This record gives sequence, C-alpha cells and structure tokens, in this order.
Amino acid sequence: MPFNFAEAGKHVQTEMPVPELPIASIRNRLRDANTRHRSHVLIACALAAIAVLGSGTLLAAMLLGGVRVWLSGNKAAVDMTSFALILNPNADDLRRVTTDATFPVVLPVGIPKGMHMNALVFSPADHPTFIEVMYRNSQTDARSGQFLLLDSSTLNHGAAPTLPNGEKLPAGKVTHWSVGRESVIVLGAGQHAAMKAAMSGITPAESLARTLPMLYRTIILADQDKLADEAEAIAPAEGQSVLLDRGHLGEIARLARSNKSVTYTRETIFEPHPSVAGKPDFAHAKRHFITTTAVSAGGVRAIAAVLASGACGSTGTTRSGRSCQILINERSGRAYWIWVLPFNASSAPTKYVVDRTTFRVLHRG
Amino acid sequence: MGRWATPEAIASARTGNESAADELIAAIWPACFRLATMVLGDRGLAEDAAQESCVTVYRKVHRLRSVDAFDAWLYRIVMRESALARRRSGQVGEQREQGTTGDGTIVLDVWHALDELSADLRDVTVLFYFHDLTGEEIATALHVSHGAVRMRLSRARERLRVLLADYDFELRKNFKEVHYAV
Repeated sequence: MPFNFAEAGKHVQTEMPVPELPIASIRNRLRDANTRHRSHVLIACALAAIAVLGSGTLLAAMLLGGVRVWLSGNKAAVDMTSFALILNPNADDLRRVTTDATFPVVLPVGIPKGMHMNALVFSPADHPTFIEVMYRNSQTDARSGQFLLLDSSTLNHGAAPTLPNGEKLPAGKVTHWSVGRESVIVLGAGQHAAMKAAMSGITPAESLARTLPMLYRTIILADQDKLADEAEAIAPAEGQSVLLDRGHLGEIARLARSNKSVTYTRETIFEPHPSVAGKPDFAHAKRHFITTTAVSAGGVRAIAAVLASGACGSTGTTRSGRSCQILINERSGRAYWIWVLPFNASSAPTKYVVDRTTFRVLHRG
Repeated sequence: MGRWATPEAIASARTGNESAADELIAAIWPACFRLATMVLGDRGLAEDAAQESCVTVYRKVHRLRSVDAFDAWLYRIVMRESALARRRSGQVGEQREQGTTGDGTIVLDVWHALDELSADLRDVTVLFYFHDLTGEEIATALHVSHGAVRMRLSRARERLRVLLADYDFELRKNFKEVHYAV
C-alpha cells in the first residue's frame, strides 16, 4: 500500500471540515480579554499593598469573607482569598460600600491635593469587613499610601500562622491605629500623625463628604488617563460623561454599524482563587463581571459621526492614527455633546454637538 | 512566507485597520483550527484554542515588528493556546477527530498514531511532517531548544515506526527521508 505519513497527515488536515468563523464568540472573547487586561493592570496596582504584606491562601475557611489580617507590633500579614474591585469608583459606589460595611467607615482624610481615588477593594462583596482604598494623581502618576480599613473585631493579633506548605506568611512594615471600631493600616513606616489625628476627630459621614470630591464623576474608560482631569473639568455636572481612549474608539465604527452600545465592567468580584506554591493565583481566579452601559447605541453613532468628520486625526478606522481621546455626555435631550481632547497639551479641546435623531454634526467649536 | 495569509492582508491589519483585521482573522481561521485539531485531537478544544489565537491576533497584530514575523508569531500563538487548552482540559478530550475522507483506513491510522504520541512528541510531529517547519522554526514555535526538537522528533519517529509497522517498507523509507530534513 503506497503511504506517505507526511502526505497523509497533510491530506487529513486539508480535508478536515472547519466550523464557520465564530466571529461573535471571538468578539466576546476579545472584549473579555481587553477587560481582563485592564483589570490585571489595576489589580497589580491594587495588590501591591497586599504583596508588600504578603498574601497566601492560608485557610479554605472563609470565616472573614476572604481577607484575614494579622497584626504583630508594626508588622502585618494579609491572607486574601476573595474580594471585589471597583476601578475609579464613583460616589454611588463609595456610598454603597461604606454603608454596607460591618463597621462605621472613616475614610482617610488629609490626602494630598490632586489625588483621585482610583481603586476600591473590599471583601466580602456584600458586607465588607475589609476595605482597601488607593489614590493616584493622574498627571504625575504619584500615588498616596494605600490604606486598609478593617472591622477591628476581625483583626487577628499576633504572628500569622504558617502556610500549609510550611512557609511563613510574610509580614510587612505598617503604620496602624484605630478609629472607633475601625482599624486603619497604612503600608510602610511613614509619618501619619496628622492623618491619624484628623481621622480621630471626624465622623464617617464627614469623611465621606471630604472624599467625594476625590472621585471622578466621569467614567474613565482609558488605559492612559492623563486626560482624565481635563475631561473631569469639562464634563457637565449633570448626565453621565464618559472618557474613551483610542482602544475604544477603534471599536466605534463596528459598534455603530451594529447599533450597539459601549459597555464596561463596573465591578469585578474575584472568587476564592487557586493557589500555586502557597501563593494566590489571581490570574486563574474565577471572576464575575458586573457590566453596565457606558455609552448608549445612539451615543456610539454620534461619536462615529464625529470621527467620520475628520476629528481625532483620522477619518478611517485606524486606531494608531488617532491622537486624541473622546469625552461624551448624553445629558442633553436633543443632542449629544462630544469633546475631542487632543493628546497634544497645546491644543484645546473641541466640542461637537450631534443631533440625536439624524446624527449630523450640528455645531463644532 | 504566506503560510497563513497574504503579506498584504497582514500589512493592512498591522496598521490597526479594523476591517483589515477582520479579513485577516477570516483568512487564518481555517488553518488555526486545523493545526489546533491536529495537535489536540479534539474539535471542541481545538475551536477553543483557535478562537483564543484569533483574539490574540486581534489584540496584538498592530504591535508585530514586521510582516515577515507573522508566520512564526502565529505558530507560537496557536501552539501556546493549544497547550493551554490541553492543560485546562486535564488531557486531550474524549471526542477524537476521526474524519474518514479519502482512504478511511489511512486517515484513521494517522489519527491513531498521533493519539498514541505524548503531547510533546505530537506537537513536533504535526509541525514537522504536516506543516513542513524546520527544526529551528519548531523550536521557535514551541519555545524549546533546537536540540530538544531533534530529540523529540527522533523519539516520535521511533514510536511511529512501531505504530505504523503494518504499512510496507516504502512507508518507513519515506518516513526516514523526511526525518533527515531536520
């Protein structure tokens, strides 16, 4: 029998029936992958604090809802097995998390000017006993300290137990104090006397009121958020405003064609994750994404009209050619308000008004 | 050059043009699926790996340093996604690909032979015999040394000799000639 293994294999391949290109499925995976990418960038940031302290999947028992903290002298160790994450939280997010917490939450006060709260990590997701807040200056990329706020009744005093693999749960240097039923742990050994005094003399409601101006009203859908402050300054006080980066703008033409909206992940909940060599493997954690609409289908069409008019450095669908980000506000009843924010600091933003019915650019200036 | 798609299609997709990326994905999909199926022996897992490969191409093709690098890059992606799919499933699934096109006996024997190989040996066998990649190209695709590729091919050949022993001498002779091309 004449037989050539290589040719037979090639023949098998060539004749193999191929399923139709599952473009919808690939698009969904693409969106998930982009979301994961953004999450990973910020999770890496969010978990920097935990990494300093050390984290392990110490005990399967979720007695404290996924986060356990041991405090011994000026050192703390954290075991984190599940948590929820909100990037660039808004006022509603912060109100909800602080209201649902099992303790009266006094948020950090005295944070340097120009900082915005860029991430909120909490656990358990429904009634947090643990809240971590992070601040960042989008212009300078400076970060303030990372603050762990805990229900004091859940804090373990003494050295952390040993991991199942025999390793000691690592502990890092911290500064800590208590405010009412809250334990505040700040990473590092910085000087926080003024903050401690300020937090001691303030109510939870007052601390929330002081923190709200540090939250973006605008939904920031941008990996590079250097224009976030500018967008925030321009965005009207009313209505939902959204800042879109080049990655999202690259999707606009397709979404407009299929009359779809831009959605984004409002909150990510990480289920108890597997461990590798005693360390948490967040990359393979089971995640639940709470997604919501950022820009309506009509808003997408309006942005497409603005891009087609030659704004943003490209009339086509070329991502790399764009030199701007786009801010959209859908508050007005008759028109979409869209601003093109150039990356070049010397160029001023341009406002476009797009008719809600015809999607024609009515005004530019 | 041009195993997966035309240089023009790749060049166009590299510019970030969305519709060009769509066309590139449509062009590479069948080959991605077929390679993953040959490597995994399971259409379900292969479709999963091929889809993930397409997602990676969508996300990163604009960062590709040159059109010439596309072939090697995509082989790496498909082989990596196939390995991940294999790992996620624990092992190659139950639902074997068993097409019966052409000479059904031969087709089944090819699948049978592949199924009898370990994952490492199967990967190099598919890339070398069915895709005509050189040892260096396989090493790049699998992120292993050229020496490891030679070793694996040698072992695969020994194993296949036994598995395909029912075929006549011409098979083995032909098989040996191909092997020396490494």
